[in-house]
Amino acid sequence: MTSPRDESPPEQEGYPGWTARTIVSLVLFIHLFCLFVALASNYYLSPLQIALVNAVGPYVQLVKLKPTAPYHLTDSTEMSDDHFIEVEVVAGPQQGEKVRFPESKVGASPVGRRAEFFARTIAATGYMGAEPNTAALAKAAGAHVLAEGDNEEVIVRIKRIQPQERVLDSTNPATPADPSAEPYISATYQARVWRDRMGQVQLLKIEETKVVAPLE
Amino acid sequence: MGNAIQKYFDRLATAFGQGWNRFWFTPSDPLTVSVLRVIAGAAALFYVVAYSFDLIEWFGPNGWLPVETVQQVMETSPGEGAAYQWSYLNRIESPGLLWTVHVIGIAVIALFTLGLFTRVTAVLALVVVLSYIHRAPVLAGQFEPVVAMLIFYLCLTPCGRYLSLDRRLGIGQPAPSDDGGQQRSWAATVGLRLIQVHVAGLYLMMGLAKLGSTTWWEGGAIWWLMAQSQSRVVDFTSLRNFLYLINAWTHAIVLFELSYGILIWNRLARPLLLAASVVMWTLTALVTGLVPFCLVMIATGAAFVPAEFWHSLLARRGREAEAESPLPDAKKEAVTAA
Repeated sequence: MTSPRDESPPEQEGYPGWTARTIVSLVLFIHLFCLFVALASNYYLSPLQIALVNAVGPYVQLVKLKPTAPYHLTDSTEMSDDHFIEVEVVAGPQQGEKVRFPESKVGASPVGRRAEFFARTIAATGYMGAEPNTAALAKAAGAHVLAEGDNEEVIVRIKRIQPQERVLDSTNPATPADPSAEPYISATYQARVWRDRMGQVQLLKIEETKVVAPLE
Repeated sequence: MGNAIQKYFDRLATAFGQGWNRFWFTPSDPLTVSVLRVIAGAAALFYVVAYSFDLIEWFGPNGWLPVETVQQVMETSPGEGAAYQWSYLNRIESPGLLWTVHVIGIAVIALFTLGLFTRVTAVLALVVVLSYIHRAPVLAGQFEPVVAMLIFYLCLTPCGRYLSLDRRLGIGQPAPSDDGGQQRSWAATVGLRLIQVHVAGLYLMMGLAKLGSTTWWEGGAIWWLMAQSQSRVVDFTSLRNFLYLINAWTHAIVLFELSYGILIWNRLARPLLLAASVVMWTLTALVTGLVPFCLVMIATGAAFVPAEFWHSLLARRGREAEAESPLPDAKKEAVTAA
C-alpha cells in the first residue's frame, strides 16, 4: 500500500510539507464531517442525526455552520407564511393603542425583515408545540411595550397573514381580492401580559373558545 | 483473487491520496480569496450597519430580546445550547456601551473589507458577526450563516494579498515570486476549496429539502412565495392565470439548485450555472424579499471563478484608468511619435 509520504507532489513553490499536509488533512476530515452533519440536519431529523447534531453542536454552533432556517423557502404551510406581532395596550397611558411589529410592508428592508422573522419565529415555536418558548418570546415582546409606554397591561397577539389561493372565487366573501383584508389575517397565539405588584412581568395565554354544535 | 483485491485497494488509496493532495494543497493565486474578502466584508458591513436603526430596540434595556429569553429558547432546541452561543453583546445592556461596541464592530469590519491588517481584522470581523448572530439567533435567517461561513474560511487564507490597503502599504506581503507576481499559497487553496465545498453542499441541501416538500413537486411553491403580501418586493400575482409558467418556475429552481451542487465542479458547465444563478437569485429576491441572501448567494459564485479571470478584469480596469488619466507632456510626445 502506498503511504501518503510516497505521494509527494512534484516540487513546487508554496507546496506544504508532509507533516503540514497530514495535520491539515486530519483537521479537514473532522471539519467536513461536522459540516455534513450540520447541512444534512436542516429540517427533518432522525434519532441518529439528533445524536450527531448534539455531538458536533459546540463547534457547529460556535461558528454558525448550521443554518437555523429551513432551506426550502416555503412548504406552503402556516410556518412559511408572513406573520406580525400586534400588541394592544389594555391598561396604562397608551390604553387602546395597538402596536404592530413590523409596522407595515416589509419588502427588502433589513429592519422590517428582522421584525417579521421574530414574529414568524414566535409563531413557529407554537406550531411546533414548544409552548414554553412561545410564551417566553411573547412575554419579552409584551414586556417591551409595557416598559416603553409605562403601561400596566397589554395583549400580545401573533398574527398570520394567510396567502391568497391562486384561483380566487370572487363570490366568496372569505377570499377578497385585497390580500391584506381581514379574512386573511388570524391570531395564532394571544396572551395577556402585565406587571404584578412585585414589578415582575407575568403572562397568561388566552385560550380560544371553541363552540361545537351539539349533535342531533 | 486476494491479490487482485489488494491491488485494487492499493490503486484506490494512491488515486485518493493524489487527488486529495491535488484538490486541497495545490498552491493557488490568492486573488480569488481577496475578491471574496471584499464581498464578504461588504455583506458583513451591511448586516451590522443595518442594526444601527434598531440596535437599542432589540438589545437595549427593555428590548424585544432579553438575553435570558434567548438563552431559554436556545436551550430547548436540538443541537443548540446557550453555552455555545457566545457573544460579547450578551454582557452589554447600557445604550451608551452598546453604541460604542457597535461602532467599533463596524470599524473592524470596514478595515477587513478594505484589507488593512487583514490577518487580524479577519478574525475580529468573524467575532463581531458571530456576536450579532449569537445575540439574536431567533432573528437569523438564511443570510447570516452564509456571511459567517465566508469570513470563517477567509480567516485561514492570505486574503489581504490583493485589493487591500495591506498591499498598498506593504504590510505582511511576501517577497514577489521569481516571475515578479504574487507568491501562490496552499492556504489560499484550502480556504477557497472549503468555501466551494460548503457552497456546493448548501445548494444540494437546498434542492434536496425542496424535494421533501410536496408543494415543490406539485409546482405551486413559487405561487405561495408570490402570495406573501407582507414580504414580497414585487407583486407577481398577476401571473396567477399562467399556471404552467408558475409550475415551470418552481421546477426550474429545484433543478437549478440540484444541478449547481453537482455540475459546478465541471469546468464546461460552470459558466452556465453561474449565469443561471444570477437570473434565479434575482427573481427569487424579487419574489421573496430575501434580497441580501439572494445577492450573497450570487456573490458566492465568485469562489468558482479562476484567478486569471479576475486578473484580466483588473488589467482591463487598469488600462481604462490609464487611458482616462491625462498623460504628462513628455509621454504624450513619445506616444505621438510612436
